[in-house]
Amino acid sequence: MDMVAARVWDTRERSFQESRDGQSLMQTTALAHLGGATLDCEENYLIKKLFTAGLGMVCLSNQARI
Amino acid sequence: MPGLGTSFGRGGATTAQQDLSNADAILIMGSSMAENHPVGFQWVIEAREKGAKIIHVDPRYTRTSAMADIWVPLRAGSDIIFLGALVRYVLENNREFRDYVVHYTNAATVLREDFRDTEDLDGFFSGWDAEKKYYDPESWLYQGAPTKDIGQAPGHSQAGGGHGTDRGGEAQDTGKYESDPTLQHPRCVFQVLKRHFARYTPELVERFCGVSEDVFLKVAETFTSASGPEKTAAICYAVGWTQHSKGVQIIRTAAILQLLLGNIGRPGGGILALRGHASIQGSTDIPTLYDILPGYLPMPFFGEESLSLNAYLKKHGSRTGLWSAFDKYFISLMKAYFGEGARKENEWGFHWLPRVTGDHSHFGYWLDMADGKLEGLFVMGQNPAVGAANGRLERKALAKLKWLVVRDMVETETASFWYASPEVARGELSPETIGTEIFLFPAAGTAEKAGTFTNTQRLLQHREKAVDPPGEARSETWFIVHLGRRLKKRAERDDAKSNDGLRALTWDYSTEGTHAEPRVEEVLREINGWSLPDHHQLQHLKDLKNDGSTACGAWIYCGVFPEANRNRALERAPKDLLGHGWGFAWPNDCRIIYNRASARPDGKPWSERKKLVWWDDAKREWTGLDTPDYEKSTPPDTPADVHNGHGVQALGGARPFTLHPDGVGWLYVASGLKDGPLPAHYEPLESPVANPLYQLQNNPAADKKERRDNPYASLGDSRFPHVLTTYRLTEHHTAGGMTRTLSHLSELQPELFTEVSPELAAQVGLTHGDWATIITARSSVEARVLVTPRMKPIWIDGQVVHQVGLPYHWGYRGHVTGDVVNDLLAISEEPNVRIMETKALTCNIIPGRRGRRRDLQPKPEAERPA
Repeated sequence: MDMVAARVWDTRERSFQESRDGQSLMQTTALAHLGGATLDCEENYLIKKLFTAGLGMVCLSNQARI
Repeated sequence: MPGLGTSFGRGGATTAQQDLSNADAILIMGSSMAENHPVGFQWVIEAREKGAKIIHVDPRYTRTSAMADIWVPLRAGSDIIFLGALVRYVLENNREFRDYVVHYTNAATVLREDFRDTEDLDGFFSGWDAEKKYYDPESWLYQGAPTKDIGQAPGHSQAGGGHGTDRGGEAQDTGKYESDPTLQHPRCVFQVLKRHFARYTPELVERFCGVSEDVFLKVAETFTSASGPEKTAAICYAVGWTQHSKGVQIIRTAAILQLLLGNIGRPGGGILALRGHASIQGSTDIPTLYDILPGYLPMPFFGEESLSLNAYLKKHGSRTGLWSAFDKYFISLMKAYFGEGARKENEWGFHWLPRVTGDHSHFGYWLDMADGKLEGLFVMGQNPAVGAANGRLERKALAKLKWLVVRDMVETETASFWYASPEVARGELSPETIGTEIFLFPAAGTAEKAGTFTNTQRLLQHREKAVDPPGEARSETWFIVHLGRRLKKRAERDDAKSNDGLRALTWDYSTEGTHAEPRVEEVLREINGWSLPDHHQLQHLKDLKNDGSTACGAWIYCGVFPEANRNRALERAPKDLLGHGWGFAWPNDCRIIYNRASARPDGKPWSERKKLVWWDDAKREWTGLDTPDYEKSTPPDTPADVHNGHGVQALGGARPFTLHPDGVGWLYVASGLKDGPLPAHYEPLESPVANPLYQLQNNPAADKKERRDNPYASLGDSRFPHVLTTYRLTEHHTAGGMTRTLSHLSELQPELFTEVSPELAAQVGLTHGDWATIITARSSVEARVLVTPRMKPIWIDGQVVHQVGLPYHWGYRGHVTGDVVNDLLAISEEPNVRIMETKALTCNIIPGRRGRRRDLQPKPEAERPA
């Protein structure tokens, strides 16, 4: 877990963009997540909360592109 | 979800599976329900026992067909011709439910003069920008609808679409319009529909779906005669409709049909979207998707619309209907995410949310990964090495990552690609040179953890843990909570602006037991929402506030946990057919949504036989067999004021589709879809048939992602003369990670096979039980031959078209292995939800096994003829 946390932190530090053209971006596109339709609502909620609202990840996807 | 979302307001099945037993006819299309949803199929059988007619339309004869009264084989990918012809049949024969259509749909709404239909522009709607390859939908607006002033050019420059615009009407005020209740105005939606579908004739069905006129007319007569005040008919579909380059528009055609027949919001009616995983519905409601936040709130997109919270709220809120409270839903979510950090002064943390800058969906970022632009990837409970389109590209892209985290119950093909994939066997990848650092975490199974699934009928069902997970296996909740703790701790030491949101993120989840597992119900309480600062659970979404005094993780789920110790998703005492008392259906435990439409405008049921919800004049409230999906105390004769009013009150007492700004079902979608306000037939991206209706062959807004490692066969390519369609079996689950690892299921379905007709077998020399190789522009796979009359050659415009069926469950791990069928597919994106086309493409099939030596493999992309 410590190793994964360190990888996430390093990649995010390297790739995070606070702004573009003077507008807020607060985003990293170097980190991605896949999966959710086999998981619980609570798990999906926490993944989106931590990854998107906390870390600025936008590359999130799952099986439910319907 | 946008097919249902834009038509009715919510991206979810409109009914419950049990309610199918009330139907007078059931059309199952794009699904083999008996095989893939066998538990729910009992209600189809129950309906049949009571006299309902069951119609199954599918290229293959399956166990669903065996139970149906009518089986209709059709050419894969011709669904909109078939359904469009049903719509035409209704309109030409005056079979619409006129009172329902006039009062509860936008049939009377008049369109702008500058709107042009596909019938006028040979396959395009007005507004197509050929250079940018998207629609400017301004001309799709209603006559009289002003565009919203959000600091942008008049109207909007690009058609919005996707999960985030399920609400529809985001870019305009669809509460303002001109209308003609007589439905005679030449530009009213009803007349536009008639003209649009005029060429979708039974004859066209015969020529291009391969369904004889007689059979088509029998289906049309059966389905429409089972609709009206005294009767209702239902439609069930699954990914056989979704996974097309025009999947959303197929579902839209079904929605138009059901609205015209008055089958939405009524018992035995509806459209049942049969979902393919335990929580497909749940994982879009509370999404792990790039374009939406929980409850279908759109992610902020980079640009003017997200410069300020006000601009964002103005763009996505609406003046009338339930979305008028958009600010309450959004600010309450920000309070759930950021707690005390979300304050009015910082626009409730709006600027901590990342901005969307492009296609960050699965395929969008995967192609970036293939090009070396990504560093790290989490994969949880999904197996893209087998389950995703163009598997070769998917697997090779993994080797470009710096690190990969896979969490699953077994070592899936995705976790083992670096030593076990076909690319390693072929010498295209080698463990020595792959730099990806791979972390494989054992995950707890569903019985080994507590949690909530939202099933196919919007029903939240909470599971208690049955047993502890073995060894080091843990739940995703455990993983995310403990990862979050570490990252937040790290952020505390670094006060960079980029960490402000992470520091503010509320993350005080408590844990229990020797493994420090989080208490899952705490998360569900947060999703339900509570008041601030006293943390009283909210009862109803009407309790939400826009002043920071409520927190709510997903407004549509509000009410699932209405008291600190009452988890309605865990309730197990059903008291009626619809299952009230068992679990909690969103919204507000409504089992059949839009059920105000089950009563006439005056509040009385359309018929005694089909009563569901009605106005109780004595009690002055809506009542009935389901929770009313309406303001409980608004009398039916309350006048509407959608042109000038505000809020849900402006809809008055007789507009059942309360999420739409005009309160009615949308036959025509003026705003919210990227590929047009009406469905039009386009051929699949790969098809042996030229589009009979338009010069335009394919959905122009679909994204083929065509590149050297993702090539297509063009129309008329003689190398790939047959139609290929993929599907699932009862015994295996999707990419097989959960089933090919079990001995009994492996024994029941041990080997990849291909279903072909006796005619095709004779034509190309295939022998039952022997091997065949199936080839597409991407790859080839080998499979055992199953010669069966269940597959029929189809006559298309005087030519025979053969269809080849392939289930896709096998891979290179597990008790039973086999070639990865999804290697045959192209990565492609339907424009609204960015799903790939799996149900109709072109292939060849030849006898014998595929070559093993490298020089017998399909030539590398670079050497392949264009």
